[in-house]
Order: sequence, then C-alpha cells, then structure tokens
Amino acid sequence: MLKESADRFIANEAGFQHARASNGFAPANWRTMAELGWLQLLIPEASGGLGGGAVDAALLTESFGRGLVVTPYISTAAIAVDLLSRADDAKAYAALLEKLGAGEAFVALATEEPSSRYDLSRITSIAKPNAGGFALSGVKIVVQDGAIADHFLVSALLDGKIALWLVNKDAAGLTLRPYRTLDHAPACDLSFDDTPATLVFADAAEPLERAIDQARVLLAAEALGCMEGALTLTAEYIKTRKQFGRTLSSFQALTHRIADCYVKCEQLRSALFRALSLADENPRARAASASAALITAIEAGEFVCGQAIQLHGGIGMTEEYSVGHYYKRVRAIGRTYGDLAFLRRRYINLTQRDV
Amino acid sequence: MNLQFSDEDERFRNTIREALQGLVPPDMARRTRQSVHPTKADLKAWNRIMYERGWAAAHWPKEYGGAGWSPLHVHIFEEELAAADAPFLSYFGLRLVGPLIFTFGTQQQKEQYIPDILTGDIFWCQGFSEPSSGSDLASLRTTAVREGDTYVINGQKIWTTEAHYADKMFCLARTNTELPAQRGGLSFLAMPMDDPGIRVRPIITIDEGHSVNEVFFENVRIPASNIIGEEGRGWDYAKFLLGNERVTNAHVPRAKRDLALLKKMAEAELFSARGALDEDDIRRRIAQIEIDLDGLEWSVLREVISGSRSPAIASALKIVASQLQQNMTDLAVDLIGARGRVYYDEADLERNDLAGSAPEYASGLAARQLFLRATTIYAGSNEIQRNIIAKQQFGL
Repeated sequence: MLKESADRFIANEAGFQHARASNGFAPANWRTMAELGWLQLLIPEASGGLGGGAVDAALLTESFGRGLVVTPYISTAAIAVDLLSRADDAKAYAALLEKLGAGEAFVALATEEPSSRYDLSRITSIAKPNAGGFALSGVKIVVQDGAIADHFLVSALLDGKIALWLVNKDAAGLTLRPYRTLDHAPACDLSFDDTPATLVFADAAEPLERAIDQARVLLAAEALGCMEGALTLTAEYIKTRKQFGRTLSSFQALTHRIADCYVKCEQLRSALFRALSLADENPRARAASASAALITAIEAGEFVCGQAIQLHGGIGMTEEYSVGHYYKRVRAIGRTYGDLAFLRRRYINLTQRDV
Repeated sequence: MNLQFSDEDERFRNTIREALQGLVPPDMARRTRQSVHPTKADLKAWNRIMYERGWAAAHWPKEYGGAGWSPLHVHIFEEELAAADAPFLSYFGLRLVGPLIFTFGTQQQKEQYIPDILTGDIFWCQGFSEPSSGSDLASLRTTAVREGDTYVINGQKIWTTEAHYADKMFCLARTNTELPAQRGGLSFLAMPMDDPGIRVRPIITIDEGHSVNEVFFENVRIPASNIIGEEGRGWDYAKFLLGNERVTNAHVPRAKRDLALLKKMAEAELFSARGALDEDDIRRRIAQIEIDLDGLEWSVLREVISGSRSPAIASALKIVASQLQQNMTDLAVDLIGARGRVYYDEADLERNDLAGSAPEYASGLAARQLFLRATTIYAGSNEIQRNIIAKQQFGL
C-alpha cells in the first residue's frame, strides 16, 4: 500500500518533470509527504509517530530514486528523527520531533570536515562550556540539505569524546555558505565561532553510526530505484531507436549489456534486503551489512546508470532528458555517507579483524 | 622501433617551454584547468597569440602556414602547451576543415578559407550527426538541392559543438538522393552561420555546460562553389577527417598533464588518517593509468612515425583514449571525497570558496567527470569502433 501511494505521488506530483520545473527541492512535495504520514514513519509511537521501520522507509526512498525526487527525506525524516528520538534527554526534543513529523522544520546532519573523509571520529570541531551552556568552534562541509535546514545536528569534541549538538540556524557566530550538489540538493558549508549549542548526545559515536547506517541502507534503496528507472528507459529506448535500418535491440552486444544491468540490480536488491533484516542486530552485523549494501549500490549504480547514458548515446548526455539525472543521483549517493574507499575499509575493519 | 627523445628533441622542448613561459594569461590558464568548455574569448585570444608566433597550426605543412616541424616535434610542442594550461584551440578549422581544404579544396577555396582559419578570425563548426543518424551517419537526410549556380539546403544537425561560436559550418548533405552515401550521395559543403535560414538551439549537457547545439536549416542558399573539393565525395572526405584526427583525438598531451595533476592531488589528499598515496588501491589505479597512457602514447607515436592509416588502429586508439580519460577523471573525483558531489557555477569557480575553500583542482572536477561520459559516445561510439575493428581487421 505504501509503495502504491509512493508510486502515485511520483507519477502525479513529484516526477522528473516536476523536479526540473522546481529546479531542486520542492516545498509542495514536502507538505504532501507530511499529509501522507511519511514524515512520521520513523518517529516512535511513544513520541506520537507511526513507529514504522527501515523497510517501510526503504520502499519510499526506492520510489524517490525511480522518480528522481529531490528531497531532504533521509536527512530530516530518517537521520534527525532517529537521533532526536533517542537523545540523552529525548523529552527535550518532543516538540521539535512533532514539527519534523508535521513537515514544519528541517534538521540537517553536519559531521563532515575538510579532512575527515566520512570518518566520524576524524574531526577537529570542539565544544567548550561557557556561562550559558556550551559553544562550538569549527568547520563543516557539504552539509546535505543544509541550505534549507532550520537546525543542525553537529558533531564536535567534548573532553576528547565525540558529542552531538543541536544548533539553530540563526545562532550567533554561525556562518552558512549555501550551494547545491550535482543532483540539485541544497547543501552548505558551516563555520562555527563560539556558537551556542545544546547537547544531544555526550557520547555520540554509536548513536551516529546507527543513524548513518540506516541512512546508508536508505541510500542503497534509492540507488536501486535510480537503476530501475534508468534500466527501464534504456531497454525501451533500444527497442525503438533504429540505426542501420534495424532497432538497437537487434544488436546482441547491447542486449547483453541490458542483461548485465539486470544482474547488478538483483544483486543490489539482495544486499539491501539483507541489510534491512540485520538493521536491529548487533552493531557489527548492522554496520557490515549496511556498508555492503551501499558498496554494492555505488558500484552497481555507476555501471547501470553509466551504461544507460552510453546506450542512449548523445540524448543520454542532455540535461533535458532524465537518464543522465539518474547517473548524477547515484554519483552523489556514492559520496554522501561514505564513498567506496571509506566503506570498503570500514567493511574490512568490521569483518576481518578481531575487535 | 625506438621512440626515445634525442638530445636535440630535448633542446627543442626547452626552447618551446621557455617561449611559453608567462604566455598564457593566468585567468585563462585557470579556466582551462577548471572548465571543460572553453570560452570563445579565450579561444580567440589564444589563437591570436599562437598565430603571431606562427604556431596556430604547427601541425600543418609549412606551405599552408604550419611550423614545418617533424611529427615528433609537433607532439612535444603540444605536450608543452598542455603543461602550460593553454586552451586547446578551436578544433574544427585548424584540425578538421583546414587540412581537408588544403588537401582536396580548389585553389580558390584555399585562398578564401585558409588565412582566416590560421588567424582564428573565422571559427568553424562541423555539421555531421542528425537526430536519426548518429552511429549510422551514412543515413543522414539533410539535402542540398542544386538550383542554377546555387545549392538550397534543408534539414537538421545535432550535437554540433561550438555552433554558437562559429562563423561558418562545414557539413555533410545529400546532393544526390538516388546514390548511397558511400557512393556519391553526399557532398561536403561550407555555409555561413549568419544565413537567415540557419537557427541554432543550445543543448545543455548533464554537467550543465553548453558546448553542443542543434542546428536547423530552412532554405539556406549557398553558391555552388561552396562545395569543398568535388561534389559527391562527402563520404570520402568524412573518412579522411576521421583517419586524420586519430592522433589528436587520443589527447595524449592533455592526458599527460592530467596524470601529473592526479599525482599531485594524491600527494595532497588524505584518506582517513593516511595520505591517499598510502592507499594500495589509489597507488594501483595511478599505476594502471600510467601504464595505459604510456601504451597509448607509444601507439600514437607509432602512428605518427609509420603512418599506417589503418582504420582498425584509429578505432583502437579511440577506445583506449576515451576510457583512459574517463578513468582519470573518475579517480580525480574519488580523490576529493565529499567535495566530489558539489556543483560549482561560474561565479563559484572564480571565488573558489565552496566545500571549506577546497584546493583549486577540486572545483569543477565533478562536472568535468560528467561531461567526459560523452567521450565513449562522440566521434563514433565505442560500440561502433568495435564494429569497425571486427570488420576492417578481421573481416567479421
């Protein structure tokens, strides 16, 4: 049912043509998602949400991928919701969670720094106590959906430990440089200069890993949607495009490539299902399977969406046609919550060393 | 075969390097590094600078304005140009139609067209591909119908690079609808882009850049003398261009410069707690690129020196070079981490203050990677190149 309503939403309100018209994030889509209850999906029932799981959210992000919907769903409705609902003092964030569920606020996660390379522990941002509470100093880069966020969840060291902080976008000493990513997401850089912040987790390492692992699985699902969308278009295209007096689909070299793409999609689907089923297992199993799913998604996405452009030829290279946008989306997915180098190293550390 | 550079070659290289010292204006060099689509102003200005030194068409025979250098020296010259971040001069006049005109054109055509190509006062574009004729170029439908002393052209071209910069177009059109393209059906003709019957529509590519266009012809009337060479030989001339450009299209000088830059990036970038060069996978990828590029360079030099002009070799070079260009930018984007998903507009490129004021090399790189997806598609897709190799080399 969720899948049907997601597909209907994309067909009627949020597909590629709509995204092009709005040139990026469309506030109207967000209101619709709130009305459909999707923004409450991952909020626990105890906090007034639907208490759904990652399986449901993955159905949605897969549809977003297929429909090329530019949305801060993963950053706000998954990562921020997961972190705020498990905060040390969760009650303090009940009102904010309610706003997130109603689609009335955006919260972006700011963890990446110029030399951290997705490693959450490699940061130099630091928090210090002051008269009224705490103040942050440091720099964060390529904050996903940061340019539209009302609040930021920011990692910064407190007494040598990674802590997580909530910072208002209008806070003193916060400078925001907005820009966008290749796939039209509204990103930004942030710099903090004695910026007032509220402590969310004093020891944020495991809560952050957990929330980001869930995001990785949702990204893998979105990549799968992109691949399915690109592959459907491509198979259709080679059936109709004629050169040398016959359809491209009469060239076996090309149909075999379509078949290879299908194999990659199915391999990813399985890695995704596996990661979803291990999401609540012990942290090591969860982290390894989430890494594996995203690794598979990045490699398969590059191949499938890259070949979709190749098999379309020139038309695949145009901004006007959707197939190139699937490629751009999977390229961005592959460098958001870890790239291949980082995720492979993480997987190896999790599976080949005694911890 | 020995392709080592002699002492004399190295002296030549030093002379060129010294002459190029400070010649490329710094902002032009920056744009060349950051943007995959050169501006018309940069192309014009650099063409003029090169022309004044007699180097705009260094690769041409001396009698038409070339430098009179050996192919090896031309290769060295182009390496030094790339290393100095000089823009790659507009391709269509100097690389394509110029040599075609001085090889097959009439005396009058040589006098009419060659001087302005050398100075860069007249820019050209190439009208080959059409919406229904991409890989199957021979099926093109644009017609040029003889009426007295003129031809009237109707039809449409697509993927026309720099049509929006060009003063003239050379194009393939059907002058005889009875004959197949390969046997006299097509002619090669020149037309002015300011003709009222020509309309240029931009095509924005996935990197959000503009270098290609659609071009529409509606009753464009040109004098019969605008047929380059002989009527009906368009297909032969197109093949001549394809074979002629096998070496340029390999882009070895540019690739060598890019490899040097890749190595610098790998030294500067961190992966986790270690330098990128401490990662086995990065070292392996750089090594493989170096091996592939050395192989490509020797293939090119073998061609330059022996000149087999075999179509299968041209296709092999195209396949290797296009994949190499993609592998290099793929690695470059991987080296810059999360910055690899940042989009820079033109003002951002100049200010370079995104992603924590990333190093200059990081800006524009992700868009370049996207545009280079086209290398395996344009100038005959790599699938078509494989067909050519199978057919020409093995009769398959």
